[in-house]
Amino acid sequence: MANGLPLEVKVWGDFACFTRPEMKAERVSYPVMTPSAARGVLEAIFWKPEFAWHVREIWVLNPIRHYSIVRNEVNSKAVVSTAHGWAENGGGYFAEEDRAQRHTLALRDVAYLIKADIVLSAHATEDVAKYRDQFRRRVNRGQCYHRPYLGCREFAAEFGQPDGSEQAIVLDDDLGRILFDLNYASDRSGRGVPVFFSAHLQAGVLKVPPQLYLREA
Amino acid sequence: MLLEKLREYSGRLDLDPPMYLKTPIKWLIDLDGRGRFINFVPTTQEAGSKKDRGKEFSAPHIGRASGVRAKLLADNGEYVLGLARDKSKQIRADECHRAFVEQVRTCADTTGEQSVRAVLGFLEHLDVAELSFPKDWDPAHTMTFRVQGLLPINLRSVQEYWCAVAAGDEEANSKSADMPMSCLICGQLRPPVKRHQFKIKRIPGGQTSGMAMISANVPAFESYGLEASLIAPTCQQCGEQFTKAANTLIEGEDTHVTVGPLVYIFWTKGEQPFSVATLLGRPEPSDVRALIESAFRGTTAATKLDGRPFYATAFSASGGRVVVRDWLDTTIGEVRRNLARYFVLQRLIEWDGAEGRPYGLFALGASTVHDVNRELSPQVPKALLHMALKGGPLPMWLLFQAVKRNRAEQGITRPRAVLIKMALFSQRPNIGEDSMINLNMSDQDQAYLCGRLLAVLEAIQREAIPGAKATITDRFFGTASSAPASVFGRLIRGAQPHLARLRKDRRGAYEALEKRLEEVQQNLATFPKTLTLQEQGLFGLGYYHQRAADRAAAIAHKQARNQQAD
Repeated sequence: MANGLPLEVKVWGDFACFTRPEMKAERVSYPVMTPSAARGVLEAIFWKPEFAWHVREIWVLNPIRHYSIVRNEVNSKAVVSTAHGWAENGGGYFAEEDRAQRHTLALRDVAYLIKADIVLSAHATEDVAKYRDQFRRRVNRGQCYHRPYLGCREFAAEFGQPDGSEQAIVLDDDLGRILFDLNYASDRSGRGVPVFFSAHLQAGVLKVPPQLYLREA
Repeated sequence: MLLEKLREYSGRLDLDPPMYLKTPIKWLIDLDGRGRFINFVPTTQEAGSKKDRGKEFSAPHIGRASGVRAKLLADNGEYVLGLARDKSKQIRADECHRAFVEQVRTCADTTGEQSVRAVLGFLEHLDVAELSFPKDWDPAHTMTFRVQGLLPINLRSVQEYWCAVAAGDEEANSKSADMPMSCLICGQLRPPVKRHQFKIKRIPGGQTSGMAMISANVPAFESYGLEASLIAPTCQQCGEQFTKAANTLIEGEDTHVTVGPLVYIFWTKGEQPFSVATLLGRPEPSDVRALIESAFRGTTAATKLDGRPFYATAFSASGGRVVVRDWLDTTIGEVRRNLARYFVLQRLIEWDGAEGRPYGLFALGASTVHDVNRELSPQVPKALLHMALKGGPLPMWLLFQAVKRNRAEQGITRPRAVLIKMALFSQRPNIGEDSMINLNMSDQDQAYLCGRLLAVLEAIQREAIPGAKATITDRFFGTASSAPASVFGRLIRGAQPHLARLRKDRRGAYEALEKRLEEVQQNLATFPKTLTLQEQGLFGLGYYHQRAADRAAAIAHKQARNQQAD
């Protein structure tokens, strides 16, 4: 449970794109990291089925700067069965024939301080302190299961222990309704329903309302 | 955020009724009270021109692609009268017509409006052969009915009926109508639209029929099993409102600026004290002066509005989609101050020494490329606009573009000189009121002096050989601006015979030029081997300033002489 101080990790990177769903084909980023992106970063560093991450606060450490790029991307998804077909019958995939130029309005030079809690699942038997310590050790060593990223896989994130000097930027802003997370369907199909919440940036800090997590528990 | 603010703005507009859209209608079918045909009446005077699509009416709208979906009471000839177009099949026209009649019938039954009944009566006893068609009538034209001089589409009950029907149709059309989602914009639990009915139009390079903002049209754009516009669930009402607001802003004279492939739109919460679009697009010197004064003095009327939010966004087109290129959320006061700085930085004398006028985004951007229609990248106007509205420095690559263009053209134009000045001086947080507007005789910067020197040497050549085809500037501007040491020795030696000739023939000109040459040279100990990017910018300004000062002096001289002659 959320006893004591939340766990902290600092993440930063050259680029970030926390894509707004309403502008997803031609991506436009939210101005700040979303709770689900923060959860993704935490899960990349440490995750076990015994617990879930509840993000409490996201501190914005660098001024919000936008950056726009156009890239060649493809129209298709990678599908396992199609790839199997190539293995059997030959053929392959030619990106040049399946191209789409897509624009991204991304963020530049970002840094965030994520504060989150480890919340144990019902079937967990160990003490939460075990996982908290494990997480701290992993952050100190720079260990991760996969490289954490800032919204898009191609925007890799650096992470580390905060040194206490971190200060959020001076900015109060009404961010409107932003994505909280997805309610994944229980059939493991990967389908989900997006959940939104009204977000405010107060003195550079995005506080995630705890009641958003109550639904799941 | 953007969509939310657009929807908020739509509340201030006098919009068409829900599910209604401004549509050009070419013909009115006049009926009497009992539905008997009277005549076809053209909505515009000059009927007959092919391009004329008729006068715009607010008419029932529904998005349609290839399927048969009838609009209520106003549609093309295929739907209204069942007459096939040149290239379409009669079977399809019959089908369209049936759908149209059905639509009118349910409307008449639901609303009970007498005029709709009259239209229904006309449609039920329709015999196309009996109608007298005007010469230039075509089934592709749009038409609607007029009963006893009144348009049924304008009736309130008809509008309400259509809103309910079309929105309901939309729900049936959306795959997950049984699963309401919380709307991204208003936050209410409503059935989301699968495809938006209203499109954003008039974005440069985009489809004329309009484009959708939210659309996942290929698998790679989909998420979590959500397709088309469901990736970002929006309710019909919000979708329609933000689209109509965006269209209104794109059409408004004062609310949009089109630069190359981008269209910028601006709006505020509440009234707008100045037109950003006009200031950035075609700035009038008087407006600019007023803006600068109000920003530095802060009159009470102005400061009262200063805290109000100000929004700007840039759209471009990518096939059938809208691309959001930029998004700005600030306050009127900020914008006023930044705009004032933007124009203060633009202050530079004209070639003839007169007070300079401000430039629009287009002129400044165009100065960095050879062919503005083909080469101007959207990044250029975007960077300028960003600086104008948000403040801060211009990016250095813009200075590089301008300097590169100087070298390619072997010279400098006034818009480019202005751009270089802005790029150089916007780097400094505080700018002096009148820095670098005019020739600065005391500036000891070597690059600046080199620029002045080139202008003086050119003047000597011009005086000695009037009408020379290629001046030294035409040949050496590029090298002189980047590596002065390699050319100036030669240029100065080359000027000696010119000076000698002037000394013999035109003593007055010789003395003036000799003096000017000395003035510049006395502070120039050696010529720098190379100049950095910033220095190359200063070189350009030095050259520009010196030439403008020379020209001004020449004009003053001439005037004085004319006065003496009088």
